[in-house]
Amino acid sequence: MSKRKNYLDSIYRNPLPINLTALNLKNLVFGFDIHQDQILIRYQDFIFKALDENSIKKLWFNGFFGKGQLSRSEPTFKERTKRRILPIKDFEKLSSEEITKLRREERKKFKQERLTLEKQEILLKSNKNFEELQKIEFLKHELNSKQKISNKKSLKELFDEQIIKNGKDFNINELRKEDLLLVKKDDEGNMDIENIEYLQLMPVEAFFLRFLNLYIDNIDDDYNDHEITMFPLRKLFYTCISIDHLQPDNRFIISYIVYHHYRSLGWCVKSGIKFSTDFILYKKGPPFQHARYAVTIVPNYENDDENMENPSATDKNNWIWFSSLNRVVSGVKKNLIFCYVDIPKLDIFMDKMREIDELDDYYDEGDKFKELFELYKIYEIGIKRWLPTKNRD
Amino acid sequence: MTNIQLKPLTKQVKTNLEYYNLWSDLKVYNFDNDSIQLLNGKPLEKLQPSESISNDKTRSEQEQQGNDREWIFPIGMDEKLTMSQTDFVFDCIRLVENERPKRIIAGMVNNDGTIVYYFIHDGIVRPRKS
Repeated sequence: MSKRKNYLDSIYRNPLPINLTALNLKNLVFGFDIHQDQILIRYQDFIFKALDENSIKKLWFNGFFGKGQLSRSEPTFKERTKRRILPIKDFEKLSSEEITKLRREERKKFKQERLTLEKQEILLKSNKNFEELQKIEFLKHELNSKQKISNKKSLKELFDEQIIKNGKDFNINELRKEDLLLVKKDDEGNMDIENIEYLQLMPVEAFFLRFLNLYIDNIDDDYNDHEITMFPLRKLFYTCISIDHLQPDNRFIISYIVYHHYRSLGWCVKSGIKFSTDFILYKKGPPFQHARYAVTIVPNYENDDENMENPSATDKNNWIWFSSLNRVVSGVKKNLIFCYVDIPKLDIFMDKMREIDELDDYYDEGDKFKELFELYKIYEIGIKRWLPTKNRD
Repeated sequence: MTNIQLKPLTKQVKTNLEYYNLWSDLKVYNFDNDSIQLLNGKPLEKLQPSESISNDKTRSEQEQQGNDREWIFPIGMDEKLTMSQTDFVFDCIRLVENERPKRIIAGMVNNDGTIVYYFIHDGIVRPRKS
């Protein structure tokens, strides 16, 4: 296990895509030389994406930014697809998606076998054939014990079984029409797969990286390598908030504040959509261990009447919602964190926004956005259900 | 059907179905002056049959009869979906299939690219064995 940890530590060395050895003090003070270590992010179809392999690698290996559009987390589409449709079988590089699939197929087989035995059981019971019934019950017991974790087959065994099962010769004509479109030949005439997967970034991730001056972007649909422009932070901001009527409790702003807060404290922050929360926090990143914390954002207004009136606030004050959220989160062995964000007064917020809007294009907008974000305050509360009969300590 | 302009959401769901969930033969349908865009395609393996309570047919009968294609309705995470809008989607499909489908699948798109699918049945259904 420690060998694996050393390996992971060596490939995921940096928490952010900043190469510290390439910096000198001047760069640290006045910003990074972005051209030295170029990351390209493109905004297209309302999605922030990294398309080229270099940018994808830099973003994923330095802080686990983004998500493979066709993967659960790390972009593994190409390698996975190669193994799925081409006659290439290497066990060592199995992705988490493939492992899940192997385990699910095993479970499905178990259920089928159980069903067959149960059917026989019912039949024998109705025929009062107790001798045979005992045999079936024994088989059932045996089948169930195979399901216990210690008795389960290893992944390698499952993988080899699957290869034998699908062992027929590769025939390109048997591919799905959709898969056939992906097959291409490389320079040496070997078959390869076209990689159609991009790395998708949440708006908060794109804004964070841009706020830190870590990438160059291109907002135009017509991709042109020669005319790469870095569009102003302000433009990116208005792209992210996506509405005209800007309020201090704007969803993007609040999410960004929270995202930035945890990122700056060294957490790897990913979407919490699958656990009905806003974010989940990894201590280091997805390959290392599971995310211990699930963060739910709660806007907090100075005036308590507003807290009751505001639709999102009333949702969050709903006890049924609270109870179900806690169930889901504790069910996946995470700790629930309520992250309260104090919303600034409308007039103070609007003054700051006006300052930002009136900036001339060459001014460093980062400073002003920093001032805007500093109007917000964050504090968090960890929540755990207490059962009087069980939790005595 | 071939020259329909794909909406960004539809495009995301279509690619996800084709290359993540390995569905095949996805077709795009436009309804109501292109305000609604639906996908129709074939899952890798037949999904669980839809059983409505009013229907007395056995499971195996239904499986044989059942349609192996499914209707998908792409929807953004920040969009609201009312009952009458959902009802309208069922009615749109009737224009193609001559009857309301037993169920549709909502494909909800999150801003990190995750897509979550939910069955929406046209009425109440019998629970299934897990």
